[in-house]
Formats: sequence, structure tokens, C-alpha cells
Amino acid sequence: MRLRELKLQGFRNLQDLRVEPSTGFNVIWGDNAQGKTNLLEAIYLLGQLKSFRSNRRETLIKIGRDEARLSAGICMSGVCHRFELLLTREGQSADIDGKRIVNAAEMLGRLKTVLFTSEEISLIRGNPGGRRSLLDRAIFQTNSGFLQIARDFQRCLKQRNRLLKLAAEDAQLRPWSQKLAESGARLRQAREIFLQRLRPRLRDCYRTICGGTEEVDLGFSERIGLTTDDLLAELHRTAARERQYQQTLAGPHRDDLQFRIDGRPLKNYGSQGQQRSFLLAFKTAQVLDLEEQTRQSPVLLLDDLNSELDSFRRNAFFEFLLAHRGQVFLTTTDISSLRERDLNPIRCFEIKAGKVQPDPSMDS
Amino acid sequence: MLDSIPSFARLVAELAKFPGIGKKTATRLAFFLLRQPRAEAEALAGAILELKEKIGFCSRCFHITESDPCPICTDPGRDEGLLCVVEQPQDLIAIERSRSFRGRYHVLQGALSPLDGIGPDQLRFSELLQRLKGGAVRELLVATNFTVEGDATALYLAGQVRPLGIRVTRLAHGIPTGSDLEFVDDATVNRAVEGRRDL
Repeated sequence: MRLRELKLQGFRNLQDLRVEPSTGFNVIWGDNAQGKTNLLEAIYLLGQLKSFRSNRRETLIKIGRDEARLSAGICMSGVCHRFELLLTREGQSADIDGKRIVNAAEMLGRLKTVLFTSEEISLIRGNPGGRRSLLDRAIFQTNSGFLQIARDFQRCLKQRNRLLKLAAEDAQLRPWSQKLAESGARLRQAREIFLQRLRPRLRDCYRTICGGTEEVDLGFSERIGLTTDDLLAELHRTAARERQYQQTLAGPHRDDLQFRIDGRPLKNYGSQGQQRSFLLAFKTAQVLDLEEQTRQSPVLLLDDLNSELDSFRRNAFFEFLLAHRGQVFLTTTDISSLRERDLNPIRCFEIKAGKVQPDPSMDS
Repeated sequence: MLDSIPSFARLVAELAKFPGIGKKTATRLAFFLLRQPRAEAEALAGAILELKEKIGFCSRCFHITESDPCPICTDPGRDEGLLCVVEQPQDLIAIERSRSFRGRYHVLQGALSPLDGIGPDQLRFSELLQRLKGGAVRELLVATNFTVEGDATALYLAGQVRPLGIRVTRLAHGIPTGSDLEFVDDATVNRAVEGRRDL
């Protein structure tokens, strides 16, 4: 999967731009607060239709402009497509090859990207919701049916919670419990299938890329049941408390995905360095899994990772990147250390006050 | 611009209230009507008024009808023992079009959706139970939509009806007939695989 051309108009602080990235490495460099991450964000948006930094669309539109227009030429499986995303304050619309996409799910996840950003460390440290979303976003890229499964479950959950708020009688609650258990079991199964594939890769990546000697693992905190009947039994056990708290207390929306190191929660027992390594190993394992499942290399977006990693991990990680056949975009403030590496083919873009200038001296 | 022609603007505004019709299409339709002979416009206006005057709901099955009870409820050639439950009149019409079902119907006029404030009391549930208690029905075919809400409605119905000793069935779902597997969406294929049957 390759991004051949990227055109941005009215996006964030960036001046209108058009770039033709390298098929290999693309280094976006410049001082802090110049707009480097905004470029990564634009690419991410074209794949996910959602930003990784802000849920508010209006913040994506340049001050003084009415709309932001993102356009990209993307080659996948030998065919080039044009993806366009138009953001206005009222809403967003997407076109592929000039045809309007009515159902966002048609575009969502077509451009597969894997984002590496140290900001996601907060997901490891934070509440279970963040870790679940890290997992669910990864699953969605390999399993297009997962979106529908997740949507059905969310819908059931909202409907059932409303009934609990209304203190509805059991006869009314029962069909929603059944539907919640069915869709919830499907969601848990999809997560478990993904985790089973990811675990061995995660261990491997942690050892080879991060040089960690600890045993790492990830999984849900207690033995959670994977069948509809299991979930129905859980709902039955929590029934009295559900009435009290007026919300659904058992199900995949409450399952705690634990990142573990030597059998203990990484969140409480891992050092900062171990947490960073874990995240890096998780993402790397995700890339490898995605390549195997889709037979295509995702576009890697690395936000300021260079400064995060100590030199050992940096070397092993760059070895992984060099072996990776896909396209890489990375931001950095320190271009000199990258010059020493044999990254090829490479193209550099310097960003100054929102303005992008390709640097011909670094082109190969 | 339309403000200077109030009668035209009014028609456009009324037409734009239709589902699936925006201001552009409404303007096109209004120009079309303008070019039509007066008799055509009168026929349309008459048809709309007649619709509102003549059509009501059948007091037995709650399908739309001009006579009460409706022709389906009074048709002697239908099987009294088979009752098909649908959400909306248009669902009934879809099943009738297929000519595959020769029983009677009951239109719930919606599906359970607590988020929209729709519970059993907002639907034609109690009327359905009354009909079933009459004793003639052997089998209830639940043909609510295959959405989260339609499924929950079906489950609720099954829970209420089974104690009466009536068989409850649900429409099958999966790959549409005459379609190529390759063009069917992932979620449908997924469900079809889950719901596979022995040959």
C-alpha cells in the first residue's frame, strides 16, 4: 500500500500543499510546533476518518477557512485510487475515485495505517477503555466485519441501558439481554481470535526489537466466557447490581485488557522504558499480523519516535523498518541522526511554520 | 430568489419535506408540475386528499386499508392458523408480493426501541396477544426486520407467545437468492456462515 500523492487544503496550520512521497522512507523534520504531526494526522484521517488527536472536527480546519480538503493518490494491489475527504464545520464527506461514499464503512480502513506515537503510552497507563480501543482499532484493520459487530453491540448496550434507567420490568429487559449477550459474545470471540494471533508475535518483537528479557503477555483480566450463554450467566450474576447502578455491568465494554510483564500488570509494575517497549512491540506485532492477514504492507506513521528510544532499541527498530517493505512516514526534530542511517529510498520534507519544502539534498 | 414567487416557493418547501427529497429535486418537481396541464395537477391533489380521507388502519391487523376489516382479514381463502407479524405496512406488502405466504398478518407499527421511547405499549402488542388468545393460531411467523431492534422485538414476542402453546418461527436470513456470493457484504456472509444448515 503506497501513498503516491498527498494534497492538503485548509488543514490545521498547514499551508496548502501537494507532495509526492517516496515509496520508502519519508522524513518530516523541523522544529517543534511547526506542523509535522499534522501531516501524519492527515494521512491517518484518510484511513480512519477520525483523528488520533482530537474528536472535534472544527479544530482540523484552518483558522479563517470554511473547509479542509484532503486528497491522496493511493496504490493498493496494483491499482491506484484517489481518496478525498472534505471536512466542513457541519460534517464530512468522502469520495473514492470521484464517487461519493454514502456509507463511511466503505472507506474506513481501506488505507491501512499503523500509528506509532508515544502519546498512546497514556492508554497503557490509563483506564481500560483506552486499552480496549487500542485493541479494537487493530482488529478492525484485519477484520472488516468487526465494525458491524461492534456497532451492533453498542446499539444493544445503549438500548438495554435505557431500559435499566427506566427500571423496566424483567420481561422487557430479557430480549435485550439476549441480544446483548449474542453480540457481546461475537465481539469477545473476535478479540480472542486476534489476541491468539498477536501474542506470539508480541513476545517475539519485545525480545528482538526492544531487547527485553521479561516475559510479556496481553489478555483479559479474568477468564471471560466467549459464548452467549457465558455472557447471559454473567448478566444474571450482576442483575441486582445492574438494577442499582442502572447500567449494564457485564460485557465486552467492561472487559479489562491487561498488558502484563512477567505476569504482572504493566500499568502498575512496568517502568517507563518497559511501557514504551511494550507499546512499540505491540505496534510492530500489529504491522506483521496485518501484513500476513491482508498480504499488503500498511503505511507506518511514526510520530517523533526517534527521541523516545534509547540507542539499542533504536537500532533494532530501524532494522525492522528497513526489512519492512511498506511506506514509512516519520517526524523528527533531529535529522542528523537519520542521515547516518542507510534509509533508502528516502525523501525529506522540512516543515517551517506550516510550510513544506522538499529538501533536494537528501533525495536519493 | 424564489421569494419573489411565493406560490412557487411554497410548493418547493412542501415538496422538500418528503423523505429523500432535497431542495434541488423539489424545485425540479415544482417546475414539472408547473408545465403539466391543470387536470394533472388536480388529479395529483385529489389523490393526496383521497389518501388522507379514505385510508385508515384495519382494526384487526393494523394494516392500512380503505375498508375495515381489511380485505386480507376477510379473505376466506387464507389460513387462520398462520399469523405473520411485521413491523410496518410496507413489510406486509413485500411479503404479499412474493405470494409465498397464505396466512394472515399483524402489523406492529414499529419495533421495540427504548432509546426512542418505544416499548410494548407503544406498539400493537396487546392487540396481537388478544388475537392469539382467540385460539385459532397454530404458528406465529415473526418477520420483523433483521436489525438489533427487530431481533429484540422478535425475542420479546417469542417470550410472550410461547406460554400460550403457539409455535413461534422466524424468517430465515442470509445470502439473497440469485446473488453472487462475491458481491454480498461481509456481515451478511458472516451471518450466513453462522446460520448454515445441513443438506
